[in-house]
Amino acid sequence: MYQYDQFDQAFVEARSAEFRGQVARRLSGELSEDEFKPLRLQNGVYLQLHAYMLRIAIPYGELSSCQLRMLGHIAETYDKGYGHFTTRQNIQFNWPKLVDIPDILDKLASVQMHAIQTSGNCIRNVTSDPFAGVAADEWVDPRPAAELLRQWSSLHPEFAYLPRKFKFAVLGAAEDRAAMKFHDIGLWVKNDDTGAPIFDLWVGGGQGRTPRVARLFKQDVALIDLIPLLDAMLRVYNLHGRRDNKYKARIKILVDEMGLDAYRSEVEAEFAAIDKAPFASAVQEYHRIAQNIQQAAPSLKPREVLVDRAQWSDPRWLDNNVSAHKVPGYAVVSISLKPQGGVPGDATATDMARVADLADRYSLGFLRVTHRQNLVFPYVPVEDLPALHADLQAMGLAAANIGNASDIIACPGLDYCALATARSIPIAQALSESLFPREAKGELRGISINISGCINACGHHHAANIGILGLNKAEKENYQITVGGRSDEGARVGNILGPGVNAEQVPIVIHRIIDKYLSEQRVGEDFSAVYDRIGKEGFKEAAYVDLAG
Amino acid sequence: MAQFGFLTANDLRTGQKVFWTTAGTWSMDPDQAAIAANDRDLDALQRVLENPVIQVEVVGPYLVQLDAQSTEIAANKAVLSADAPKRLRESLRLRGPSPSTSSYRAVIAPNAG
Repeated sequence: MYQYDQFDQAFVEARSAEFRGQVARRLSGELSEDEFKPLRLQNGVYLQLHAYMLRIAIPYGELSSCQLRMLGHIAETYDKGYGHFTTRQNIQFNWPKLVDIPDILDKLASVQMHAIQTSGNCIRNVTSDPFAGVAADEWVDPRPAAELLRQWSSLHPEFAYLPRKFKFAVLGAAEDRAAMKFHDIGLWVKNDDTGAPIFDLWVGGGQGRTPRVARLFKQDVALIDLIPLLDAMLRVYNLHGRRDNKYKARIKILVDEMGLDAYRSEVEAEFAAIDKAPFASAVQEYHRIAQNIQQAAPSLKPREVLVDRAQWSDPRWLDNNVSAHKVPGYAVVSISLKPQGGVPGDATATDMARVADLADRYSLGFLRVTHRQNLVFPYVPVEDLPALHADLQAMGLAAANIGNASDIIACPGLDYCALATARSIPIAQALSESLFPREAKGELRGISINISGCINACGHHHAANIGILGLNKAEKENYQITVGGRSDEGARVGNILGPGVNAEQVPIVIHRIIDKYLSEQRVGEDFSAVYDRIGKEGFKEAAYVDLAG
Repeated sequence: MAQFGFLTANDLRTGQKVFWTTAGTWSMDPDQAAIAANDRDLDALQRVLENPVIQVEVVGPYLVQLDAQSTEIAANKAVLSADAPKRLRESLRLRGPSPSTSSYRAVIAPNAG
């Protein structure tokens, strides 16, 4: 993973010191809340339903064991003993005291972490493939481009006050494991014939109340043009993006209103006018970052070690949680943070400390966070899989449900979030309890269930095969069900199935949809394939039969 | 019908939700909240809101409206049940969050420490 240089370290330390001063002035009354709010938000500090919330960036989802151990320490020392991994590969703490946050930021800086730009109308934490650098289907490691974007966007003077928040995702493999097409701008990195990186740029994706799948903006962009072109794309958005209505302020709306061709023309004109000379250093920096990442990465030699399925009495964990590594003899292991009845993405301080120890023992001290709110060990020797599985079982973290229906995404919802309109977590817990027994029969693969507690869609409900959106109907929680969404390379937005249902009815409806899927499924079909064949109506009839409104 | 209500905010230093009490202080205990059960009491709470002095220690104070039918009156003291606020958001803020991470973890992995 990328190691900070002196400049990076000085930058986060200076920012932490600056925020310490701002907090002191707020506590003394020198700053009003109106003056302080934009300052705290730029450092990831929200005021939520019950308390402050601190959102910490995990750039492109990459963590070291040292960093995870520090997150566990923070959970134990400054919070209530747990943290919540988010759909943007970040972690949130729900109960920090404002007076403690400067100390927390200092401790984060000591392990090369920060909370800068995890809020506000700026470029947010860049997300990426959690299997970056190790995936068997990878063309180019996306991390150098992701890190270049992190450095370019950190405190970028032009883009600190955009019309609305702005999200990037970077991929370098055949499979989209980062929901790239639901981002404001997505980068898909490939190599050209000479082995140099080139970029396909996608624009205008997003969720919220106006979900959009990103559209292809430009193919085969050379590295030397990447940053000036992104500058031009952001400038045109910054100039024309609406600031009068926050619900129409994202770039997806601008691209809709201008039209993709008109937006592209204006960006090309802006790009042509940009002096490219200062950007030459970005190419050098990309290669420096790539070298930095490579030097810190373990040197793995291919080995002829195969998984011995015969020694597994229940191979579901192997089938669901273990993925192919680009180096033979190694495996990529996903650790589910979705135990039966658990809160999706939550990890206790004890979990974090113990998983950090396991990462040292089995994955050379490296981890990843996924947008599906799970953890990944990227460098596990195949012969260590049984021992790792046994250790995870002892911790209650061996749920064999990655990619299964119970691998539910859920935002914090109205249990924590000041913007939410209904609860997500109890719905996820109830579904998890009822799905686990079915999955013990191995029948619920190839289905995604995502839950959002409001139309802002932090729980990615639009992008799920089965989406659940919590709404407030006359001060009662009401849940709208969507079907047919997907977040992979065939990304699309789900369709509303029918009338909303109450909380108690949600599991009934979801199980009926799953029953219908299984009854219609033909060999080799996943949920999306069945949906393509029978459509929304096929599921609607089954879901609502005899259901009181 | 009389309008019921109480004042709430978040403590500036800790962020904890707090409630205005009959003693003229902020408390983290919702059962200590001063509950207005008539127009005169509501006016008094409104005057508290408008006093900049009380805002020094808290962030974003506001009045929560209560459903009179869900607010029990016992010995001249109103008791806040979770469904007392008119708004769902305020009900969950009053008594939430609903799940307990530590309790489910204790069930799933009783020896995990």
